[in-house]
Amino acid sequence: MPAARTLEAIPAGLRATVRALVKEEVARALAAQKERAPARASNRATLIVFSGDLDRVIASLVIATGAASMGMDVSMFFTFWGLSVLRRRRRFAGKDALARALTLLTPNGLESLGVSRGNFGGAGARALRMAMKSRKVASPEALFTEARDAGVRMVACSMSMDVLGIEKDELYPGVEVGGVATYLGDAADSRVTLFI
Amino acid sequence: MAKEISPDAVLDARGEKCPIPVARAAKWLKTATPGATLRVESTDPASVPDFKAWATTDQRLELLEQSEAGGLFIHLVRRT
Repeated sequence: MPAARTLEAIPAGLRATVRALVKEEVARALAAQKERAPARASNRATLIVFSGDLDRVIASLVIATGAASMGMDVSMFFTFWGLSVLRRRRRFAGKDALARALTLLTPNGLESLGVSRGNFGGAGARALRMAMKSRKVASPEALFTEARDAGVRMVACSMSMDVLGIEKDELYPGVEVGGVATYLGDAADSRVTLFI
Repeated sequence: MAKEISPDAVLDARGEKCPIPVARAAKWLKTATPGATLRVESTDPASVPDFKAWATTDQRLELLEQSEAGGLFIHLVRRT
């Protein structure tokens, strides 16, 4: 006759022992699990800023600032055209002809970014800035400062820096230079990831 | 009648747009002592769902009360 799998099926004298044994076993299993996968209270947001369009960059800065405000650890990876955002100056000296040409052709800082639609040689960007100002929306530069002050980690992609002939001294101080593994390290740990 | 709570600090975010009200409150939160309260005054209607969502995802922040009167949105929050 199969025994019912309840505590009542166990002789009264043994119940306390069985209870203690089960408790011990559960505690052991839980401890072992904890050791295998240590609790990671990860609350990270990781953004790739690929675009150098002012409107897209503004969106990325708003999201980064918001996430940092909400107590998340935030990383922004700037690659290709997005690198322009991190640029504080242009340097031509000490670069080869191709790098010099690329330096001239790529925007220098937030101030020189155009919009993704209807830019008309910069008129579109100026119109967007005017509209933001009249609606009392923080300027792109203010949002950038806000994001940095909030502790957003800013990383410039070394490969696209090489391709576009951008060097570290042309970027804002405090900007890190990293590679794909730096991004993936943060992304793997993130609840929110965006490609902009 | 709702009990009047006098906050420890007041943040005037009138006229500011997303994400500034949240960013300013976050600055207060960083240095606030546990239990401290802040009253945020905003004219941005988005601040209503924003503060709600923030308090839901961030354990440091508790939303005590929200109200609206004549286009002014009041959020009373507490540092947990």
